[in-house]
Amino acid sequence: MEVFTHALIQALTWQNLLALIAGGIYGIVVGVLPGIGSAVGMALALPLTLRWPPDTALIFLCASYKLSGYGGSITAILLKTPGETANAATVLDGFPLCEKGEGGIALGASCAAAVVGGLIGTLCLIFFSPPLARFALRFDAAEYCLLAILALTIISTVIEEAVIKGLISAVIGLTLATIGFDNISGILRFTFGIDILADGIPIIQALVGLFAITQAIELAESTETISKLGDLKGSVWDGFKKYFHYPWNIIRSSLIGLFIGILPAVGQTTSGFLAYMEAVREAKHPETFGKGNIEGVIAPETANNACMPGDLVCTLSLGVPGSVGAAVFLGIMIIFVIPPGPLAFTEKADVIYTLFMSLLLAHLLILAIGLTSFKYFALISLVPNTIIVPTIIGISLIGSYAVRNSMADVALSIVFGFLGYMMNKTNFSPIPLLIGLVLGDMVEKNFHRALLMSEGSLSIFYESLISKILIALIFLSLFYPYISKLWKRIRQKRKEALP
Amino acid sequence: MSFKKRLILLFVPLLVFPLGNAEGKRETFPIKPVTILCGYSAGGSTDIQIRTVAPYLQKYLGQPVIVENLPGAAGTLAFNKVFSSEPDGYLILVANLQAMILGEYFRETARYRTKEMTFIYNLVKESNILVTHPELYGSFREFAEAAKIKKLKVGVAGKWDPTHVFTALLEQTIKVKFNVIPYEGGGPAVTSLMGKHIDAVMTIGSTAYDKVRAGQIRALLVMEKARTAQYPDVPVLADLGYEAPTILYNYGVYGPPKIPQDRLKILEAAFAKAVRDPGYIEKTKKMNIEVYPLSAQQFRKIYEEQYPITLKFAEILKRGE
Amino acid sequence: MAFLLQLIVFTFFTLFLWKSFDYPFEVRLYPQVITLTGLTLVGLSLFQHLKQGKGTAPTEDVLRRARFYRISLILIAGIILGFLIGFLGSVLFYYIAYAYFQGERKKLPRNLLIGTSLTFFFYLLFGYFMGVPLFRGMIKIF
Repeated sequence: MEVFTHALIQALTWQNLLALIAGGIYGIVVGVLPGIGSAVGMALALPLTLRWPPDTALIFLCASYKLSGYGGSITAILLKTPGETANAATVLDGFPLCEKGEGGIALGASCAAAVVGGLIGTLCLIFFSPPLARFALRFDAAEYCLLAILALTIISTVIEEAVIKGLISAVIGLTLATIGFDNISGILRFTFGIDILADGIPIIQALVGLFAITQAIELAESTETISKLGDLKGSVWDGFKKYFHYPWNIIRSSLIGLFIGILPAVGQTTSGFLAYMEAVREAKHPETFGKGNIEGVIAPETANNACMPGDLVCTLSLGVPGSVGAAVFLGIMIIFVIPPGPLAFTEKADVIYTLFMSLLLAHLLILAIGLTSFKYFALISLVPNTIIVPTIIGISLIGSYAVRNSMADVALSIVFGFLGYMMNKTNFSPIPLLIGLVLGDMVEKNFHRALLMSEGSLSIFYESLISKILIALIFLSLFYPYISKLWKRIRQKRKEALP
Repeated sequence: MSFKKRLILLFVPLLVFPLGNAEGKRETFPIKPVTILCGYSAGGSTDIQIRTVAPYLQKYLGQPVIVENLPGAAGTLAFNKVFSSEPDGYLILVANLQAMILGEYFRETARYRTKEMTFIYNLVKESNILVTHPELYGSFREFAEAAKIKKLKVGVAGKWDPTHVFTALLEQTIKVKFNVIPYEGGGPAVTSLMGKHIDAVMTIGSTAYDKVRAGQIRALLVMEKARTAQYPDVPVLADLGYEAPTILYNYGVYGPPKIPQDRLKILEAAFAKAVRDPGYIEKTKKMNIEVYPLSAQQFRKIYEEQYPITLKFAEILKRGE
Repeated sequence: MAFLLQLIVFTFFTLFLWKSFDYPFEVRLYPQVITLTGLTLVGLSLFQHLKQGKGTAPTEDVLRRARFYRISLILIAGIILGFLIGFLGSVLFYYIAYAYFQGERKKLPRNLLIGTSLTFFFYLLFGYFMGVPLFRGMIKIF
């Protein structure tokens, strides 16, 4: 207990508080800018922080990491442009809410999600890291492969009328993911001689293209503003309160986020979409999703904010980064000579616990920022398209460019923009494609590695308990739509049979 | 002020900035920031090495030093880029020498020629180390005995990566066959090990250091001729009666071919001072990194020595597939 | 439109399947499995499509179409410009082009001003503060 009070005092020194606030604001800016993700943001800020004392530096960077997810949700809701890959799921219902004039409500719910989901995640990080980390270690190649397939099937099969189209979209994503170096044998595949593809289709560029550019094209087709002045209803505070009407969603999404977070190598994008899709599945009126159902904002945002501290669980207790952002964070810890892993808790305990306290305080920061400034953000939706569209394009393309300093990436984003446009017009959802692209690597390399480990035997895929559960869930999600229809029909018949 | 005047004022800065960037044949190099390219993601061992020394380099170079990451194809994209860029001294590369040699040898997209690169300075030296999970094997001898009975799973940092070569070296030295499993770097391999999904991992000294100290993994063997300061209690090949040639494992800084001599000298001198800076030395001691400063000439000499040795093993690796 | 897209997808899978035979067994196993799955799914989807019969095609909003072609042209021209005069040049172009073609003529000067200042703002933010090296183009203006 003493440790915590001491750490709290440390966290409240003016330098650390300043670092927290500055880091938070920087994080939001980074989050708002599409393409410049939390990882890049941290890397860019790193040289600045090198001269500071370790706890101050870590607080700044951690605050930046945490709030960039939140910042990303802002543009996702207001501009249909996810600031981070993680926020892609928030776009689905966040933007329609904005179109209905309820942008403020969406922002409020997102703020609440950031606070609640984040607190749940952070508390688990502080108190349950060791057992959570041990659980995560039980996952290896075979389990990861199955998990990725499961995530894909869940995401592809939610929309009942378009199951096959969803699966096709996913397979396209998986196929695109094979471009580039084969991880195991090192052979270059499917690049058709184009050098820049040697590393495969980069996720951020595809994301920017499929969501931001597509949106820009669609907006360009109509010359109005996104929402009209008279229609703005609901304030941020309303949205914040509304969040708490859905406790099951909150609990479920936090668990999903935490689970995905603690597993190294699976990230926020997956957790966001999984939580979203599960919310759809459990809802009484699934058809309202995609048209502005607040639960469609609550689920992914809660999950993602629980996921981020989950990332840190493995990073801090095992020294294994749980995501790209966490890897940067890990490198930073090493530079500050904080040994990641259990040693950090003995040798640099004061730094670590101060960090934890700051992380908790960061949620107050989110609360403060969220409830005060966001009504002004909602006004963005009133800016005419003439300004908005080129801005979306400009910001997105800078984002695409900044990752690898490559104009070719920018061209690639535009190609994806047109692809996304065509897909939206023909009822193919681009989401499974994106997730296929994200997870494709994971499926293939774990598939190969599992086979290598078992020297060719497929038994490795059903040996462990976890594998068996995952396989069962895959079948369940593939056939769930048909089973539930059948079940409904049986119930219907029974009702009719009664006098 | 009239509207027009305000408009013009807005545009003036836009015109000034490009002028500020004019590169004339002016005073001494460097007159603008120097970029060091790293072929691996942020947080990796190469990245950490260069970021640790960068602030000190900045001090002695007089210009900002920017570390840029260009991950891809296990460093090849970065190697290619620097190789084909202007030899003006403003874009240089940090990399592990052996990885460059092997990459050139094995990868079809390697368009760089290690031989032609300008060797600027060598920073540090690392060693390869074999680690296992504490609950699996108590000592290297136990491990070696088990390896003779069944095919043990050994993780390496990548296909054709130097750790892969060291593993092949080990295979031949103790005359066993491993089931070699490539990962995307030392990190994922060690994670798998911590979950006891594989038997051992061949990785780099610094990567394993904290985990060994924490007792999460156990160090079995250091692939060196003599005991290292980093792992004084861990046996080396010679201790166990094995004779094996050592390959160096060093990280250095390179530039595109034919950097002008005067600029090379300036860079070299700055690095030399940076690695001797007390602040840097203190950091490396804490992280237990072995600084191994080599001037440009010494560095190239090491390359000449290491090249045939590295290739010999590369060939063995290739034949074994 | 739907049919066209599915045809493109079909070609896409076939292309990858065909190319996969260039690689050794282990390397092409996974791509072949997924491209075959993809082809099967596309087949099923086309079958479904035909079964539903040609539903009424949505009435083409000609104005929408025209605007679509315009924005596509702007995007493509912008990219080419980007390669030539650098990134900031292309951003500026987008603002100008968009304001000119899509916006209201009356508001043109205002939009141009906002666009230029936003480009400048981007330059400051990214190029100056964040140190992101912005592409200079082959003709180095910016």
